[in-house]
Amino acid sequence: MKLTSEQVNDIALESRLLLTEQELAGATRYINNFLDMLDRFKELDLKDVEPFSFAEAIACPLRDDKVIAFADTEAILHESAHVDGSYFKVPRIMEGE
Amino acid sequence: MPELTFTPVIGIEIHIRLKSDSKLFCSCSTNTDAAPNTNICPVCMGLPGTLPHLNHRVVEQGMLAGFALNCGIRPKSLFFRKSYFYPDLPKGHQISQCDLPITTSGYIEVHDAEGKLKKIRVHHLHLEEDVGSLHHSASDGRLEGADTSYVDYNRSGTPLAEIVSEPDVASAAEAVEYVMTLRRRVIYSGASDVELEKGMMRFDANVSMKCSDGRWGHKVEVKNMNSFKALERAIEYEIKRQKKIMLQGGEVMQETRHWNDAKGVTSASRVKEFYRKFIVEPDLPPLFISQEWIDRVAARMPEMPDVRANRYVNEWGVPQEVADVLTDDKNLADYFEACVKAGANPVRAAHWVRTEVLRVLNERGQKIQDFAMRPEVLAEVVKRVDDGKLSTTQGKEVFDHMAANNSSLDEAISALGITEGGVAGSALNEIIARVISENPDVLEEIRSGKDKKGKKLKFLQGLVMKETKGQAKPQEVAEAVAEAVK
Repeated sequence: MKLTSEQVNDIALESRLLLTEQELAGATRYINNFLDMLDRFKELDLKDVEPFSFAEAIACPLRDDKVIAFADTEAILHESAHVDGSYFKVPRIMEGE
Repeated sequence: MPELTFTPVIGIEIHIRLKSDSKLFCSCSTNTDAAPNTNICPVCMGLPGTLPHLNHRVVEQGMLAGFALNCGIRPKSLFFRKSYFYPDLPKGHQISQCDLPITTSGYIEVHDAEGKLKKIRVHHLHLEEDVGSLHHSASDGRLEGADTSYVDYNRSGTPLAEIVSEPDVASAAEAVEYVMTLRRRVIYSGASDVELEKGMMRFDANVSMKCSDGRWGHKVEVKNMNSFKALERAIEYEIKRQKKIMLQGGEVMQETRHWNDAKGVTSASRVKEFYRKFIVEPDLPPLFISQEWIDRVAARMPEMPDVRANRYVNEWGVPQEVADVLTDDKNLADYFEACVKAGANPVRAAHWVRTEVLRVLNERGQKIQDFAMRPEVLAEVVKRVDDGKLSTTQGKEVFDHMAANNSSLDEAISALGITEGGVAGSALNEIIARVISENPDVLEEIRSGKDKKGKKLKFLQGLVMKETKGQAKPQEVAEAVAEAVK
């Protein structure tokens, strides 16, 4: 599998990164080298091998359904530079217009 | 050339808010009606360095909802990060089970166009977190021309179940029956209250058309329906729209369309579709569910509403329509069964609950849980009417009096001046004698033979009935009055 420089540029934009042409060429080369390496796994028969996600066999810890209010919600609100009353403000977004 | 026929192929995706006190991965309250951004914390705001901590109860709620949809519980499920960029999603990714869900392979039964039962297969139900809510308006409240959106993250991280059906739905009517039946069953399971007016159930429909000439139109995802009526209208509109395109030889585009309820149309969404990137959530190890845990939760499952309604019909002879109404609300069905347990005839009790109890509740805008009259008391009224101690009219008067005044059965009977078993025998004769003595001129007319049409006799009978407050049998009164005037 190979990615084109357009596809790499799309991914960069999704990540809010602006790349120069030189950076884009470098990133495309780097990613494709990585994909080449992954392609080598195709030589292995992994049909009956479960995908590996966690190094340790631990179960998901669970907590009781108990409400504990966070003490300083105001501090979270004021982490943002764009606040109006108790709302966060973002540029206008209208879905389905 | 044979006429072309079209078969709609519809799949439904439903999001239901699961019932819990705290959010899916943090201890913030799930109360979304609170003042904006007061039920938030570093976890549900996605601040750096925080870890999600899974809510035990939500896992069980997911299992209960799964049982309600006849799904099987998987012994191992996994959470993923679904990454996309949108202001209602502070972490930049939504934690969702998607590929390895907690429950799979269920079904809901609906009636097809010929009235036969058919199964709509449920592909799976998975757990995921909800996002924040966006409010769009200018500072003066105008919607048009607003340059800012306001974000409230109280909803961010509240627990959802996403339920994905197979494309087995063939009409708008089947779609509505599917979501209504599913909702009722989930409420019964206790997994969610699914209050529609609070936005606890949202649905999307994937609609495509199969033509008899072998053509198959692309799938169109229709969003933004927030009521059963909207779902029905949106699907009907989309079926018509796609059919028209295909009849004209065109091709239905694969796209997302938004339902505009005011205009009654779907329109192509201009919102850019995101790249939704998935990786395994590294902060949440796999969720293991033992058979013992599954059995423990399964033991909490109540009888499902359709099974319950069938039992009323088959064992007690309650008409299907009445059984459906009674089982629509679990608490109402519980009330009805308590009446029957207290000795009321099931068919009569069913009609009383269906007509009288529901009438009073509707008039007051109340739920059955708020209804003060104990089911045993209603059972007693039903029994007395059955035994002939109270006429049906008297029974209803007594019921209304008790409902209006919170009074006991005896108080109501006494306040209404009802003599149980009716006025007869010597009590009736006493009243007749009194009425006649108070109307000597009428008696004279009858005895002198002037009352040829019997009008005066009827007048006396009427007065007697009035005196007995309608508690005497009309036939008995007529005979006794005729005898007394001889």
